[in-house]
Amino acid sequence: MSDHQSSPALYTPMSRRRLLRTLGAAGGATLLSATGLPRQIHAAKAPTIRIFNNETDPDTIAFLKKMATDYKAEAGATVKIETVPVMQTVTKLTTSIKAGKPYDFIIYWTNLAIQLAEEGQLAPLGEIIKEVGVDDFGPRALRKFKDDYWIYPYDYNFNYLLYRKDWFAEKGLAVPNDWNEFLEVCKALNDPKNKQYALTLPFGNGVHTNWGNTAFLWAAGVEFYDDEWNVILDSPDIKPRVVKTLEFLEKVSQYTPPGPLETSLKDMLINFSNGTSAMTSYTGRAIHTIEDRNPELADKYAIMSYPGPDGGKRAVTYGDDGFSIGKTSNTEATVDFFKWFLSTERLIDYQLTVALHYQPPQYSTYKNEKWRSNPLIQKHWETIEVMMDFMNTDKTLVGSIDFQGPQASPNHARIMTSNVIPKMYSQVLLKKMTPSQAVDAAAKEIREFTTRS
Amino acid sequence: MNPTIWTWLRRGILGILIVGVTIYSLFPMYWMVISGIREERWLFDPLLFPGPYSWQSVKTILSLTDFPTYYLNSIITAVATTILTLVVVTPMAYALVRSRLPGMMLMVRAMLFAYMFPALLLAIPVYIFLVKIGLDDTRLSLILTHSTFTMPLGVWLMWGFFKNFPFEVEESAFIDGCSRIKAIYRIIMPLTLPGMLTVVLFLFILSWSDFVFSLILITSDELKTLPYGLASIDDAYDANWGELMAGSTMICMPLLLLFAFLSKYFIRGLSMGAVKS
Amino acid sequence: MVTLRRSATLATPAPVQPVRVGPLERRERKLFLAFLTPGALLAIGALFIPVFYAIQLSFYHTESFIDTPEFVGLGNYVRIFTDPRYWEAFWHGLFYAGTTVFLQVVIGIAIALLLHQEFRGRNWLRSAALAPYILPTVVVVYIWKWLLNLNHGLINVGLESIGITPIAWFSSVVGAWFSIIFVSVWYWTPFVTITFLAALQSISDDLYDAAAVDGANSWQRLLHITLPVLKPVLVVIIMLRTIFMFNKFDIVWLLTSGGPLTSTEHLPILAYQKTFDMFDIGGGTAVATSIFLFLTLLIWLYFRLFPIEEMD
Repeated sequence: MSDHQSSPALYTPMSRRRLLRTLGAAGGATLLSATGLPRQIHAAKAPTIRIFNNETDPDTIAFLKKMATDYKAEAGATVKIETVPVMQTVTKLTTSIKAGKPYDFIIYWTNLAIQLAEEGQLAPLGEIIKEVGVDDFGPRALRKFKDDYWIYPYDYNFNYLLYRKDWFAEKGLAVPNDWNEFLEVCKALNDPKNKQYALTLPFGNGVHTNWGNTAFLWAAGVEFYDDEWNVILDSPDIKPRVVKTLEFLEKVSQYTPPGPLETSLKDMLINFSNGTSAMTSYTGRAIHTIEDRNPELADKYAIMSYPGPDGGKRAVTYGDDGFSIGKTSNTEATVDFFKWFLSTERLIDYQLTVALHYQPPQYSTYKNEKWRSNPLIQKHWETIEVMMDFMNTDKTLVGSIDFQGPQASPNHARIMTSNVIPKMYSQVLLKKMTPSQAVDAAAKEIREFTTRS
Repeated sequence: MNPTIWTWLRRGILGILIVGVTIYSLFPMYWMVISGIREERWLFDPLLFPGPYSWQSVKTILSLTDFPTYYLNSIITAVATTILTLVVVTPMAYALVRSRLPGMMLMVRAMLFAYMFPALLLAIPVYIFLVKIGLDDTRLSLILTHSTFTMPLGVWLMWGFFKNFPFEVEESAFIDGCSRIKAIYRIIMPLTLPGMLTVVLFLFILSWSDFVFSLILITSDELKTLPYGLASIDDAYDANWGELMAGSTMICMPLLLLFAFLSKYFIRGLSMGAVKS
Repeated sequence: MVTLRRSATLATPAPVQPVRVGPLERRERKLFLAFLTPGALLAIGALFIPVFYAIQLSFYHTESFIDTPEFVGLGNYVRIFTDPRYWEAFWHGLFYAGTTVFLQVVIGIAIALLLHQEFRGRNWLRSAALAPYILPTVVVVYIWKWLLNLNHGLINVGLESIGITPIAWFSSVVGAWFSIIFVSVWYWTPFVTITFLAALQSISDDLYDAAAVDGANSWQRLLHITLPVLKPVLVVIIMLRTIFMFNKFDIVWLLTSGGPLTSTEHLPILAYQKTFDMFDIGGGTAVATSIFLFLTLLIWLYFRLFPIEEMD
């Protein structure tokens, strides 16, 4: 086992050092070959446009990859798509900027764009949007900040209620027009013994509640700020409305599956298509889920907006997504890319990857032949018409956290990530606070992080 | 009490305990595996025993993500990390045991700090630094960072092994003219091999499970690792419990296989004195 | 080939090695330094520097990683220490660490004792008992979130079938605490089990036999032979597990996110929330640093009380 025959020379310090060095070199070489050399050695001359994408739908991702190949062939520039799980969007974006590796083109949601714009990380899109025509965009789709536009919206993402019109018909129910009627409908549809519930609604911390369960607040006329960024949530005019909404939601939560605070986006999607709940809060993606998992429901569902407390204007929640161009060394090349994207109608193709979910915010899209003739759009045209109707501001209020206060502001992102609204719901549902106390606590927290801009 | 009755009673209690521990330890894994291959209807109306099979969840998961790529990346990273850590840690542990250099204990204790700071807060400055030297988004960066948090455990375990290695064996080798390094590689390591396999397993698991560093340091799809891949699925709206369970099963497979294969050495290795305080 | 045989004595540390003097020593020193360098470099670069950077951030006020920081000295620390939420999280962390370590030790020793008995299939059971520890954290979380799912999880379905109302394992305060403690114990007890098992195995049978000959029964053997050996192991395990559990972020975060509301929030989660959700990076890193300092103090105290391995 041990080798004693080797010459004494092997044991001199000289050779030991040599041995170590050889080992080190061999090890290093192995590691390097296994891991690849740093990218700088392969630096290319042509710009690489890096796209940050937080849409995880496989069809969308596939489309983006093909688009990258096409652009390379046509314009010679490399486009690199990096898909990130939705929940990690903020972390990845801010980290990359901090590290000096910002993305050139970003696919994400609006209030984050305002935050980035405030830090000077985005290139203004005013020119491009004006070329398309500001009037082509539906109500509240464009958000002006510091006198310019920073995000090009591709998706209204209205949150509305889907309901089983066949069950409504069976029980002789009509679309409720105020909150009393709504509770009546819930009572009639709720059958816990048979594991059937009236409604699936989210209440816990997260974007699903901030987007999926704030419409009742908007319908009740709740506002967070006045035009000077003063918090008015607990003012004599607004506070009773919030309290009324919280009391109403507490009652409604009894008609949802057990564990309302645990309801996730998954539950909101799946519960409707597998017959667990008669209504659910969601958007077009739920229709795709029906088509994928339970196609027989395709003609048994319908959609409605959220009713107001006493009749009157109904509400939907706006949950926009859009494109931004980062302020990087590649901004010019990226602008060229985006112009190509728009002029070759690839925006339409993109929106068609999840056709019923990416609800176009531009009037012209609805008239576009390519878009209209998509089979799914055709099949669900009734639903599309209702969706288009939501853009009629006489009938429907498009509400959102993003619309609080006089203009676009980083405050909106803060309301989202601090989860003040879900926290109010949790306090009330867990009976830790009365609705009035919950409102006070929320107002206090909002005051702490609001900046006057 | 009649000794025979006592023996039977003892056997009975032992039997119950054995079954109890088995169920307690293994049932959740069993549940994960069959949930991944169960037909969707029966997911929500569960049966205890395997019921109707369906590969649908597995198929969906494979179509939603690039599992083969993630697998490959995780394997390469974990293997490279394990090798690198072993190479770095073995001499370190040896030096700790045999030499009398001052400040060593301090440094070892300092390495425990790796476990005391939230990984996410550490990953960000590391990423910034890596970008500066152009090494971000590379497998090498992942391997290096993984090695940082596998090192403390590796040092601790190897130290235990070396400490219990009788010096006489080494001494006789020195008398025969063997150098220190030769002694390590020719004599000590082969003898502590079962124990080392233990260390290999632990290090491999640590690297395989990492999520935070993969998230922050890696941006290219081709370099993503499995836990990151699974998290992407959870966020994807189309994934359901069946798919999550199928994905989880696939992540565990290599670990469980490695473990099953090595468990013989593992158990033996531990009783060789990994734990001395 | 030399075989390593467990000597017939209790597990004691190896005898102190004589220092080698002479010309060999200086060369040896260089060699040992070389042995230590790669590890040290890695530790410094990938560990100490980031820790230093993060601690540095705690003296500034920044709202995001791209904001320009302003120096506030100890301002963040004053703020966090006067916030009742911090102390709530602190006690939550102690409670969590205390209960989980206690349960891990008790159950761990119990299972180790079981595995120490002679029976057929013992090796197989040892592997089985160790299996939970092998799984990655995300997998453990998903498995238990699925098993404890309110409406469809097996546990609640089972409870319902025997007439008990399903429990909200993640959205009620009691349920949430139970979940995080139970899952943590399930996941990490094998580590304790294996450690104790190894220690148990190191006790030679001769000792037990000799004691039996002297007339000691099982209980006395347990008390006077087994437990004294386990004591030093116990001390180390408790210390290490307490540190790990106090600082455990991912399991609690992934299971409950510190919820419902803040009822399962402990310091690591508070640090995360402040840094990434509440636009208070200075506060978040201050909390993280305070954890770090607290644990360092704990370790220092421990090394004081139970000085280990200075002699080897």
